[in-house]
Amino acid sequence: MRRKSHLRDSIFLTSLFTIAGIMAVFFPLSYFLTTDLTEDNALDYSRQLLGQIKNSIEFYTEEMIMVSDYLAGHPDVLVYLKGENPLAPSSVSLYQQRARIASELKAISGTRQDLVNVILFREDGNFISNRDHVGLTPYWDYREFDWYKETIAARGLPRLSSSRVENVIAGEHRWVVSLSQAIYDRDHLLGVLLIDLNFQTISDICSNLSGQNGAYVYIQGANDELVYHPQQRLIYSSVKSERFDLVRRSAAIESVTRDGIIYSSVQIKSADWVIVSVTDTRQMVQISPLVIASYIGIALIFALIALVVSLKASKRLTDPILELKNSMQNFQQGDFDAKAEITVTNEIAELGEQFNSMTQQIKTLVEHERLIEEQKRKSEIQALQSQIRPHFLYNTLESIIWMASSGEQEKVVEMTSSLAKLMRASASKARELVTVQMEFDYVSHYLRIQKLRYQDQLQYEIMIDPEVRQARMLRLTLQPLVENAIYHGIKPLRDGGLILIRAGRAGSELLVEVADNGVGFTPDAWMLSPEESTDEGESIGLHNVHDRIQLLFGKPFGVTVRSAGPGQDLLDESGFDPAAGIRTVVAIRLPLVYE
Amino acid sequence: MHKKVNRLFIFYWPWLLIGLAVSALVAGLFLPLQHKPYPYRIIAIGKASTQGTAFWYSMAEGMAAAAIEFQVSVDYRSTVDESEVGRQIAIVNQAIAEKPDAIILAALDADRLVEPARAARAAGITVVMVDSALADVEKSPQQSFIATNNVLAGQQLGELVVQRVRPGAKILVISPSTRGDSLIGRETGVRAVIQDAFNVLPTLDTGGQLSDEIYHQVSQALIDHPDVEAIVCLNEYTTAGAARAIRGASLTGEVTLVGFDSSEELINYLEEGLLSAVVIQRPFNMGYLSVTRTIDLLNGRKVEPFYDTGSIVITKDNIYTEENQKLLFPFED
Repeated sequence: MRRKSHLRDSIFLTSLFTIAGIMAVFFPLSYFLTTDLTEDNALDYSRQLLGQIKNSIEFYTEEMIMVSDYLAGHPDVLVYLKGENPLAPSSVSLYQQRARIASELKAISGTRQDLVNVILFREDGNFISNRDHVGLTPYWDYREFDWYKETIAARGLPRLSSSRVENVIAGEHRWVVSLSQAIYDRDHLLGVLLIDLNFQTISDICSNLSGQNGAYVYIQGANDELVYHPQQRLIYSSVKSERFDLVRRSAAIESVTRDGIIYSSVQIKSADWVIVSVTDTRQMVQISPLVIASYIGIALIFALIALVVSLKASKRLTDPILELKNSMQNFQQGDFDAKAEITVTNEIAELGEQFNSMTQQIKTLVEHERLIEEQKRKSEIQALQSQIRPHFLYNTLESIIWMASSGEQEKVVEMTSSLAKLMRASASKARELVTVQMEFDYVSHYLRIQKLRYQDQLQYEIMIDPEVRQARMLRLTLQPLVENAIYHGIKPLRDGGLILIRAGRAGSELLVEVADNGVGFTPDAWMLSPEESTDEGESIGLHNVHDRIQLLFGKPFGVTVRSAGPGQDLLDESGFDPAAGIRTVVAIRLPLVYE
Repeated sequence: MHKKVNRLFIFYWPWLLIGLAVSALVAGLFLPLQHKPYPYRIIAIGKASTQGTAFWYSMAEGMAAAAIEFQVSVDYRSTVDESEVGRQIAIVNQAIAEKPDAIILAALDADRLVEPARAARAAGITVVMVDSALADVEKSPQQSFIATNNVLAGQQLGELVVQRVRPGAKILVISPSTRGDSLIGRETGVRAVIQDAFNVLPTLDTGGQLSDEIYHQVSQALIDHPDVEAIVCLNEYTTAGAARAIRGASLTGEVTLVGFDSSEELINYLEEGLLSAVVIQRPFNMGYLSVTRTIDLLNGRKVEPFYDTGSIVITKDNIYTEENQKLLFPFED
């Protein structure tokens, strides 16, 4: 059963694979289009983000430099740094100077919450802080630290540190970014100014602005150390790594994309820091389980639609084909009435109609062939029946014998000659259609024999319109008519009779007429079928001729009989001489053909 | 006719299944492109609150960093201190009842937490250990363990003693508990190095108490053993308690103190010289990696049974190095 369903299978598979193919093309396409768009947006976002963070950080660092420059050039500061030990009793004015500077530092840090420490270190170890009551740590000498050494080395230029833990204040460990500047009197170092910016300010800028869609920002310092990184503990312990090789130290924002990750970097003014934003676009263009579920759902719905549609479609297609197939099988088994009843209207319906009309034609052809075969046989039989009868032969031979014995030499010769010709013509295997002339020759041989037998009792006359001499007529059709006229018309008469035979044209037809002035007969009599006929010879002859003509030429043609019946004259329509007293006219109507 | 249709439907079901398989395949092609894990719910159960100790603060911080990065939820819970084993078991059972995708656990007791962990596994919950594992690692229900290799860290502590104290000196080892796997490991490591060369007293188990109580216990111990030359502490607050006791007894410089983990207080002691050295762990990494390993397990990936986050020796001289200051001073105050 399954093997017979090939058509359904292929229809179903075709629709299924078509849908699968569409999905296989559509889904990746939409995915990659989305990806592309997202990546472009991510790049824009990453550069915008970087620009914002750069501006914010520059704002803070520049402000620190401004403060530093202001203090480094402040006359009170220079006086203080150059002065003697302010705690010495002789330096009251210096002590006041110190207080003025301290309030200046306080004022500066008071306006700016993010400035943790503003400390002025004097070379001799004295210092002024913006905060009251803080002491320097007793455990360290700040002059031993790198930041201090580097500040001295920078020779008066402000130096921005990396993020660091400020450890100069006793008991405090705060994350800061330090701006430090050495203050010189010509080549003589007076002291160092230290401004600590709460590092939280910078880390907040970086963490608040990033953190969305897997994007983050980090800051790389002058020596490639990390000033800020959201996961720097992981990086220092090598759990995570950063593509430092992709970072460009450039004043303009530069972006590099590697493996779906966008690295944008820019160097800030006033410091050797590079801000880097890392945007993982792979995390943006993720396909959520919901999307996958809906893809599968859509696929499921498509598959169901494919199933239903293909079942319907295949049914629509295969049902008529099955119907056609059944009809064909019936037809093959000989049922010529087999018809394909197809209700749909498509090519298969046309096929069905053509099949139906084909069976119809075949049926008609077979029928026709059978009919023709039957008629042919019948025609042959009738042709045989139309041949000279043995009875006539006996009579003729007897007449010859009788003539011979009475010494009528000439008559014997004539009769024998005519008989020979008659026999030859009758038995010849000529075609069905012969010329009118040939048929009349044949009849004239016959009539000559009969004339010799019946002497004066039989008068006859043959008239052929020369126009129809070469026209064709059916062989052996005239003789039976003449025979009929002799035996049924003339013979019963005591005084003998007259037979007129005429051939001519009537319109487009050939008209051959045999007329006699014999006893006449009921017109219906000959129409009876041969079986019903009481008198064999009569009706068989006419009937055969009529049938043969109609078989060959069709309905309007054939034999017609007009007879006055016993004791009456035929109505004078025949065109024969009224003096002849014609009572019966048997006519053959044929199409006028010459070949 | 109906019968025929039904038969056809039955016949076409296999094709429908093939169609579904094809659809699933198409959908499956996109799965590798996905980087985002499902929004897993993870409950982390530590040994102490994030307010109480810098160590657990950093641990929770690392977990939170991973949670944000991988878009999962991590809920940190803990007992108040390390003595409450029964309380931790209750917390685990409560967590199981909430049916999270995974539990990250730092076991207060290597033996008693095995059963609750088994129950969690039986409930289909992934169990990852952090800091302190369960006993009998081979048979335990834990699927991965992220921690300091505590035996190695203990050996580092032992080496610090060897470098600083004369052979044969009397040494006191202080541990907050003798049941936690991490502490057992550290003590094993320490003793492996110092047991033979020194006169090591029996370990002082402070019973999970916080620094104030430990101060009294250590002060008493210093009275009981006035000739102790070095104290080795196995965690943060025993170190702090011991430091206070040494200062209280005016023995700064007389008794060498080496400790474990760090805090603002311990760094001050290091700078002061009261504390000679500490071995510190990487709690942030531990927290971060415990979450990433858990996500890996939940996503069906293979994970190593043990990951060593390492330990570092900190002395006064290396507090402010680039890496160490970031380990020792958490950003936020």
